[in-house]
Amino acid sequence: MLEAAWEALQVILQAQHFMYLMLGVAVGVLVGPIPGVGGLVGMTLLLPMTYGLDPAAGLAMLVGVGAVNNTSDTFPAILMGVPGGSGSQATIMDGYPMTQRGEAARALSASFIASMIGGVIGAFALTAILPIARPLILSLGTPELLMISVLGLCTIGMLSGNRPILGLIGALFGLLLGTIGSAPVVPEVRFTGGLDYLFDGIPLVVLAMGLFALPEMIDILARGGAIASKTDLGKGWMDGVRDVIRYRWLVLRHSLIGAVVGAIPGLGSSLADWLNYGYVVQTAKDKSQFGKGDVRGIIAPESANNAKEGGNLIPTLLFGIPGSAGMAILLAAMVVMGVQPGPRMVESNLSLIFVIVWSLAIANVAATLVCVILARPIARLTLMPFNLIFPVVFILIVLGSYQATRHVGDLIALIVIGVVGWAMKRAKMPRPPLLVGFILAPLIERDLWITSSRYGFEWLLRPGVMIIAAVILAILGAFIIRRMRMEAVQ
Amino acid sequence: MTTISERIRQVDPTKATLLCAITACFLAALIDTCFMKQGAALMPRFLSGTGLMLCLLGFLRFSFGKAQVEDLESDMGEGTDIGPRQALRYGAWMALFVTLMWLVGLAMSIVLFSSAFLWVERRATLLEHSAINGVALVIALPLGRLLNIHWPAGAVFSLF
Repeated sequence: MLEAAWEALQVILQAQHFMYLMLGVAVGVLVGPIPGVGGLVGMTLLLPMTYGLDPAAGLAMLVGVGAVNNTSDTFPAILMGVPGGSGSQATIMDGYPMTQRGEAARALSASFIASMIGGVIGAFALTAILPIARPLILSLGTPELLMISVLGLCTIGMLSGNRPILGLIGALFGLLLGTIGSAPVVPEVRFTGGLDYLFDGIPLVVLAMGLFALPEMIDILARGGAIASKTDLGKGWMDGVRDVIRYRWLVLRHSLIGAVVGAIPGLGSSLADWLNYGYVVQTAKDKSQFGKGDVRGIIAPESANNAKEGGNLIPTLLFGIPGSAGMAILLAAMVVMGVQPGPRMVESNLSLIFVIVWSLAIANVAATLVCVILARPIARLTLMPFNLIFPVVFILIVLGSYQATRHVGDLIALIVIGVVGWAMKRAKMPRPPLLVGFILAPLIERDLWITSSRYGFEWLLRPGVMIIAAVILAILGAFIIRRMRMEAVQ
Repeated sequence: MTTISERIRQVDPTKATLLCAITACFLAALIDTCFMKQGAALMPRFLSGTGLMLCLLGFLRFSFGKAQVEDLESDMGEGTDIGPRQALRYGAWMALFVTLMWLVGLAMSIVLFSSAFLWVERRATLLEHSAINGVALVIALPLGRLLNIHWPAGAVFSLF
């Protein structure tokens, strides 16, 4: 394993790979401060670039975007009280009051350093879990793998957003969309309506662009105006660094909590953020300054937020179950580049896992440096009106989609899926389960076919399958009880 | 005690339309699986059957359950409330770019589209027009080449 880690470090330090990683970091730093755009849209826009790219370079680039987005999205949260992304909501509680007090620079530096340490701890958490996970994963059979995929899908469907039924419907709809085109086990095409374009199924890039990038753009455009009217950082950069050193155990504790929360598919940035904020408030001896500009209220959620990315990669890489929408895009990129994520990856592509680990650690350090050095110009990005950015981003979306199959169908599909994506956003129906279902469809169909033809119905009695089924039922039961209690209170 | 018709009026029309459309898709898929070979039908049949049951559960919650609780909950990432006229306007912009691309080719369509958009939506200055067009061209054209996309020269030019 150490050999694979060393090999991966050498790969990532090669000029070409390092350049792609830095490109990802640059995009992440640029899109992070723009509320609504964020790392997800950034990753989606870079997804088409991964076609034909060396997997190590492509994944380094996407990990770069996703990892640093959580660092740069604190700009609007601290400066304007507007969350740059779902992972910076709790930062507003104490970050914005500090800005109002003239301590924006202190709040930003504390946030960047805490994010960097959290990100590096998250990467090490992923590394630490590998020796334990590897033998366990390699002992699993096809029926257990099928059940793990179902477990991941159910968890994402039930836990993303607060609408379990809509989430599950979305996941099933994604799976159904994934079955369009040629069937993998018998020579038959399904649900194409006689359209040649659909014979190979809906291109993943088009689906991701339509589902995430296009609705966000429409939303931003409809909202109109700029994010802020002024950006004044003030002084006190070193005070923030001193704060992080002073509360080092807090950083460590919340980074570890963040990594654990990230490892559970579907819990998301928002929960990691608020959970850690709530925890730091509860455990603090002096609670009087929280909500008025206590730096601990920034350090705790920010360190957890970045550590969560490392945790998120655990189910994504080891089980092929993306823990979040960003991870679903990463998984999509892997499929595009011909890398099969999931249990088999630990056996056949261990060095690639380490490339991702190193990318995550290096990207976090690089992002912190970039954010500190370029804080003032990045803060000015938030002054840019949305309708000025739209033409460039929309052209990129169309370009990215058209290159999927270079067929006019790509553009029509983009618009149709864009409308569906916007309707889902408008109806508060969680979109990540749909994308995750779409990505997992071929894997689940293959495992389902092998399992049913090899074991008949006997596979349902295998101990591993029964344990996973019990976990699924327990999650479902816990969720139903929680909903009933909520409804009773209301 | 609210009646069913009152409840239906309370339901968000976008959500109801979306749920109806997805239900129709599941139903069509289920019917289609009857004409498929066994191996091809296994997964879609299971999916559409389960999907239909969940949709039914969703409708039941709308009609008899406490769906209002769900509707009142705040959720991050909620869509901005745009009216049909605004939705149509954004749809028209997208259609315009795609049409222009096929008519006059990529480079010209970028300039025409972003100029038209900036003029109508922003009343942009000449400097803003030049800057955005420049950025769009500098990003899009090399990216297109990098991705090895051979764009059509434009239907208008093929007439000459």
